[in-house]
Amino acid sequence: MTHMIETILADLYAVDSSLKEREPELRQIIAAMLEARPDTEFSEAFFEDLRAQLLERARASHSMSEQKPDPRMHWLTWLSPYGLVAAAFVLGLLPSAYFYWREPVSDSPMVAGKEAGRVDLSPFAPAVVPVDAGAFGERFLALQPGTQPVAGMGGGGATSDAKLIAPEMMTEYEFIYDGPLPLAQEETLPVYKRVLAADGGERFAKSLEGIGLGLIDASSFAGFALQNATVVQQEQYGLMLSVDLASEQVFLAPHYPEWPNPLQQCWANGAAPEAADACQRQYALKESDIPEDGTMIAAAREFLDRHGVDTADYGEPFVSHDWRVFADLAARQSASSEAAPALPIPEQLSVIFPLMLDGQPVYEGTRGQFGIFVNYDIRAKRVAGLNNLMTRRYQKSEYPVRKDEAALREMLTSGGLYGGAVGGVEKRQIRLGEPQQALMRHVAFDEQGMRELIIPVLLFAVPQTDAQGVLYQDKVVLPLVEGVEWERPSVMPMVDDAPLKAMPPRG
Amino acid sequence: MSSPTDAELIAACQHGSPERFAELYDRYARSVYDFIYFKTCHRETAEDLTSQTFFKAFEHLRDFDADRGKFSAWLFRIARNNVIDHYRTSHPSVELTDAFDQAGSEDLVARVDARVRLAKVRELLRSLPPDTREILMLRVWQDLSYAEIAAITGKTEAAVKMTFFRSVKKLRTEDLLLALFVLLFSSRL
Repeated sequence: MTHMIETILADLYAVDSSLKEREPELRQIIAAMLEARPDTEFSEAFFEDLRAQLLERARASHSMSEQKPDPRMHWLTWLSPYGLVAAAFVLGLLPSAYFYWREPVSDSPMVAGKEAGRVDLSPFAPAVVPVDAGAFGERFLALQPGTQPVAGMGGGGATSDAKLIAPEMMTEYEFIYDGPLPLAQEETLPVYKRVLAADGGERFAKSLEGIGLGLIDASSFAGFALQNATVVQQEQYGLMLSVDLASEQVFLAPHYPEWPNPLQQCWANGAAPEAADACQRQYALKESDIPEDGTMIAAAREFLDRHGVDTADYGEPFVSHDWRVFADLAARQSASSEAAPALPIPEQLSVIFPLMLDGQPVYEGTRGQFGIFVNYDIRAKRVAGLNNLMTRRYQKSEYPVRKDEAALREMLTSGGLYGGAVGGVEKRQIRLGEPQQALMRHVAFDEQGMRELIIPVLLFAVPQTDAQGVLYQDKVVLPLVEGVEWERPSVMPMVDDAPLKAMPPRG
Repeated sequence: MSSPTDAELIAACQHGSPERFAELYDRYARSVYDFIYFKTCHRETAEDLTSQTFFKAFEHLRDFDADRGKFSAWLFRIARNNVIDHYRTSHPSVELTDAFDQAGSEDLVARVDARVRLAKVRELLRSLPPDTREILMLRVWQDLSYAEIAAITGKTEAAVKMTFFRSVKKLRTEDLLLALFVLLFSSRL
């Protein structure tokens, strides 16, 4: 009570300081008012009883929304029966895990997707929900040197350990941009955080009860939560479908035993190395085997449409040709050095359906746009899978716009959020292209756990090659809002134009 | 790990985890009950109206828009409306907003007297206009901020400021206790 009295006194004195002369009297009055607070006869039994009633109501509404038939069950009709018990329960789970994405209906009182202007009750429905300003913490992201995702080959999720790069291969880059920084005029801009369903697969785990292949009583274990499930399509060109309930993603990849590939025979038992090499050359893909972009995009569209994947909120699809950057480099090195092999044509290329959030494209790492990657197999001339198909439920919280141009310029000079280094053997200057405002996806692993954040940024295009070689960082990224803690790295996490030992193409 | 914010819990409820409403209930059940009790001074009535408040909040959570205010203020407004509806139903011929307006009821006065022990405070409460009395209880007994009180009472900031500016000028020379209350609130302007 003393604290409350002091608080009220402070309030009073702030209005009329002359009241200090009557402090003893005021203290008595305030104490009397506080003491007069009635005993409200609050009952713990009432509290618990009402809580139980509310929980029962909540569970009933949840159950109601789950029991609605899903018109998109046809998605699964392309999967033939497997005869596996596991497949049975997975097929039962998938409609809930992903295929509620479109047009679910329910009379549950809980509604999501309000910004989309539709009633969508699925826990997996796309939605952007505003939350309090600064809701993700004052410093919501700390980037430590050497831990940033770099060189987005293969999706941008890789991390770099600069110690693995030989010192003679290190180059210190200085990025130059002479124009004015187009900082945002707004006072705040939104930061997004992807949110997952709260139960983490616990409710799906109920399907495990009684399933132990006769070897163990699975239901005897408490607290099971289904993390992921995989089913395979047992026919020619069959696919493997994986659902990761922990991260709420669906993956498709070739079920390779069902995919004929002439290269496999090249390495049959007993094949001589020379014969194997000749066989590989015979069946190696040629530039002329690559279909037109339009052909691959049409195939990807048809595939997604046939399997009920809604791409309405995604941008215009395009084919990623990042592999050509490395192929060109390899070709150049082949001409100058016998040690550098020519890069093969990739077996698959990706058609990217770019993720759009509040009308803005989302990038990832320092390279490329983020979205659904539909992989097209050049040899089989068909879609061979997809990545990054995930639930899209985000919280949106406003953060103050950065106005410290000098600090941002320093960050820019050394490569932005994901680049930058000092101490390289060679120093090179890279002149940047014009910046654009965009969103940047960043998956953070820190003491707060794994968080997927999408941050407003300025992107500066980096020329992918110059006279001295290829640059693995194609963007310099500057954060547009406060809250991103950045520390200048001391070691360059990029390699220069040394001969490539392996090339993991993006497409 | 910090506990989830109201906004996070609401988002969870709206996106398929309605059972997380229980965490919001845990957070606000006591203060909502107290708020209603201060207006009714009757345990059973307070319990009934508290139940109605949380069920209504649950049923209408889809309508809650975090852009338009805090969840706590929204919840207290539901509670406040329930109390008003309660008195309209039970005393349709009299405009009542809380138990203190029922000074003519000996039964209720006796019950209030048993709880509000200090005669001077009781007299003060009775002498205040209902809106002002409500603000006093919210500020002193429930320790709510000016912003929360304004949101609960549904007044615009400008209207509240004008009302209390005039009240301060009028009441400065009157009863110290009354002036004290007005100052308490005006200090939040």
